[in-house]
Amino acid sequence: MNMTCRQAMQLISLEADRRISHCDNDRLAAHLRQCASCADYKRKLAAAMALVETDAAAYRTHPGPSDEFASRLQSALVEERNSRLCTPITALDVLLQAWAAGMSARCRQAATAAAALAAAAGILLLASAAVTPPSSGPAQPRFGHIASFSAHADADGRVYAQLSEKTTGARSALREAVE
Amino acid sequence: MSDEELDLVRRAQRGDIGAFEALVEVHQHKLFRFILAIAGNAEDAEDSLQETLLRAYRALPTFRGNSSLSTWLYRIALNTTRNWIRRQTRASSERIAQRMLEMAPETPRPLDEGLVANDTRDAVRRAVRKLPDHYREAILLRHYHSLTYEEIADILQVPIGTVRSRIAQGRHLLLKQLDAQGYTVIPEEAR
Repeated sequence: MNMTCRQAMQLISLEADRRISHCDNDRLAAHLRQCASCADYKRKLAAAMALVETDAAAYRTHPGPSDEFASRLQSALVEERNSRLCTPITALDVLLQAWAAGMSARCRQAATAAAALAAAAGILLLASAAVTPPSSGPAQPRFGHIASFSAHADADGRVYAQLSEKTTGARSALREAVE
Repeated sequence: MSDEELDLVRRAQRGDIGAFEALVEVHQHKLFRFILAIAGNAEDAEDSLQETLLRAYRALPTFRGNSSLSTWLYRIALNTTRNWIRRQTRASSERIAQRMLEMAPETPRPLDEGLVANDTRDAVRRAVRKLPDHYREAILLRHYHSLTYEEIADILQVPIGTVRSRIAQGRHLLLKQLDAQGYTVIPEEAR
């Protein structure tokens, strides 16, 4: 079957990476003998790839991240690990962990209650932010604060809840984290 | 994966920061260069690399070793940097292209040769930078990181056939751009 120039273009690329089968190699060779334009394309592509390879070789000599990067990364990792250890467990975490670890029925109920409390509190807070009347003082953004609610249950089934408000400055950070 | 690397993975999965640092140290430079080629400047590349490694640290407990650690890290780097670029809407493509031209270290050469080499290098980088994202990623992984088609497929999460056509099409577009600028003068012996 005759090969199209488009098929030849794909095979020329594969041939450059030595990934062409014997059969396709023979078909390509036959096509190149008949098609001057594809033969010219092959030569030009080889020349262009040689330029790319030269640039790639220079590129590999880039010194890498700055000297300060290692210490910045270490601080970020320590912060990440600490936040993992210290952050109050969210309601969703409680649920997931409870079922994953096969908790007792009593603990599962407590975890479910904590999750329900968190969801209810979240809805209430959003609703209250939406209906807060404008104050007479300096103008405040309508959804000018965010509140976070977290809850967790201990091994005996006791439920702990924590409610905190964050300033508007945290909004963009939170949005970014969510994205 | 070697026994030593496996041991480091196990320790890092338990939160050992030292083990994680030792694990990624080997891959850090190539990841940085990969991100640099996409992000366009060293400052953004460092930020994106840090985000990449933090994500890897968080996700390491889910790493099962189905792919190599290297391709797993490349995949995280690619996704992180794609998101990073999306957020950097302020940076125009022109500014990014300009930054990319500034990033490679200069190697001392005789004056004329140096000028020609720099000029060609700039043309190549401009051409690479102008490629559509999915072709550029494939070209960078193949030519600048010497990865196999299988590794590229694993990183980009696409079939091998897609990698073949992206590389072929990416090369074709590069050739067209370089040829239009007169940069692919075929050597006499190759005619």
